[in-house]
Amino acid sequence: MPPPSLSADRVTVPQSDVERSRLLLYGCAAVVVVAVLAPLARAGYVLRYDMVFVPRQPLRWDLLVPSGTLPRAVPQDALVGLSALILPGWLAQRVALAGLLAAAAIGAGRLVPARRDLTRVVAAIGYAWTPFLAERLLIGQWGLLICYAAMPWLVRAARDVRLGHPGAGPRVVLAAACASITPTGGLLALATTLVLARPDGRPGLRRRGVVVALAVAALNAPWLVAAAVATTPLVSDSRAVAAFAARAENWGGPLVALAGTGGIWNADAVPGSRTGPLVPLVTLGLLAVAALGLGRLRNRWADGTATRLAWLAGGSLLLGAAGILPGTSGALGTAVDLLPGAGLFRDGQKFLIPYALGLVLCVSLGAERIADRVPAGGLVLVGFALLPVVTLPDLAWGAGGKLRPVEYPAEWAAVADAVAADPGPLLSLPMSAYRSYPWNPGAAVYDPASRYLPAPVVVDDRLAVDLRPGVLVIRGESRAAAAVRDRLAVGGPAADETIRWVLAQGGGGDRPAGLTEVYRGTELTLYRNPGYRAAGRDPVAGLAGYLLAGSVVAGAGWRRATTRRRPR
Amino acid sequence: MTTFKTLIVGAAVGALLAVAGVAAAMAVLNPTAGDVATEMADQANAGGTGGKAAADPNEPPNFYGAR
Repeated sequence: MPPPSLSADRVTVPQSDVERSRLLLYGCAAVVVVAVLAPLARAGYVLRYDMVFVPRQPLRWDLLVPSGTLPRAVPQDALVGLSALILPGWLAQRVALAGLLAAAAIGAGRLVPARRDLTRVVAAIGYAWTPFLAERLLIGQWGLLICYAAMPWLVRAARDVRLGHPGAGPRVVLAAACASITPTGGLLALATTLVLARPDGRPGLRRRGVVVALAVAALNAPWLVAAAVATTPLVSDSRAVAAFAARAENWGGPLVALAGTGGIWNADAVPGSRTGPLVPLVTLGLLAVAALGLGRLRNRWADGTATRLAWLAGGSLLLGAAGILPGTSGALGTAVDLLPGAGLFRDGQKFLIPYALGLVLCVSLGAERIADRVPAGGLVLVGFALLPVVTLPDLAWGAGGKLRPVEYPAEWAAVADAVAADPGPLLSLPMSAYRSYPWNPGAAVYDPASRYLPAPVVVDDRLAVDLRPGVLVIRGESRAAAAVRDRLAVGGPAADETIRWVLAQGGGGDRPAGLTEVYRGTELTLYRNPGYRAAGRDPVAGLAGYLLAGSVVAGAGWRRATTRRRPR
Repeated sequence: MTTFKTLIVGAAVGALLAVAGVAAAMAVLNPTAGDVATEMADQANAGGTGGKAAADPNEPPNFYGAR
């Protein structure tokens, strides 16, 4: 990602001070990375909810261009598959997690238009230690967190485009490319670019803003094209809006939880400290400090960026609250039911990223404003820098020990070898999207078979959510999984002629009729279906999206490299 | 007047940080009986999440998540 300048407020700063400030930020970032990811020094893979890393993730068609399911991890899976060509999965996971934490801290520290180094530290630690980051980490959505980490860099670059700074356009595209490895991130990057990069001045600048916006829009092509060629219905179950709506974490209610950048729908992904009785009071205190800082942000970014960022942050907060507000929740449910792709918005809390950044910038400048008025101002800033850690101590040490690496049992490799010898669609039983394993205690994880095995994997894509009281089963979109469920419901065979392999997880059990046992371990049993008939063609057209996005990124990278090399 | 304002603001920030720090430390060091019971139940289930209550740790979790 391109580095934003430290002189964000356009104040001339001696070079030695800039270097010291940079070193301070890098030090902060290193401390945050070590504090959060220390347990990952052990060997193995962190497997938790949506975070699935495997030794070598294959570059499979159904991961590049999923035609039987919605493209929720496009182009993330393609990038992980590509990285597996040069990096083992355990290393890729550590690079991704450490990189996103460091980029978030450094990006926020550089972005804030501060007059003191310690203000940058407040922003750096504040942005890399939020409830949002902790909760999305605990639910395993590292791809969304890369968007979170890229946001400060994108905001800076988009502002520079609007102000006509040379070389800013490629920086926007490169930062947006990092943000766009998930569909949600791609939409957030596009919205941020449209709001912040749209010039209101000379026609030349306006044309440049349009080109940059089009380039960022093109970064969404992989998942848009994949959705267009998919055979699955693009509308989702509207009941998911209530299930995935923002949730109260304490007596403060869901709106206060959102205001503090928390409020994820899943109680299992909420750090224990978020349930404390003082958390709402701390949130209200931060909002008061942020109100102090907003004025300073508007003064330092007198070009209107602060106002635009405030609108963007407000919009993301509204989107986060859409599932719980009367009126909007109904409208959102209707949209999810009727509009293709609207299901992206059912979990609105994940769109809080611009709000989180705006809040951190304002709190940092509010803290600086307070520090300017008291004798021991440095101490006040140190206090504000430590406040996120004090109020959310259980993000440290792998989110309180919840992010701990485990090793796959050897039988996973044996099954992968057997499937690789005769690739074909595999059905993973029992029917469930998520698994729990005795070797991965305390964590549910998306079925690793879908990433580990070199074949398309059919898993049950329905989601059961405990509403306390009551259970809601959100319908899936996969027609293949629905067909399996229908067969099993009437006592029919698990596999028809479209299934090559059946993987029974959990060990034991009798051999299903008509299948040949190929491998039996303590936990995994693999059957071959002799009645399999190869059918269907790979969705080659889906690669068009990758070509478009890849060309845009390559072009921006080339422009960026030549711009930096050019003498000034 | 400036000194007075400084004292007030400094005291307010200090009190806020102190209260938050003490509360967070207590939350970490002194889990409630409910937390202990939940943790023991999770360990007993050996699956921990998702409201899983089955004895077989290989069974899929009953829920993707719980509100």
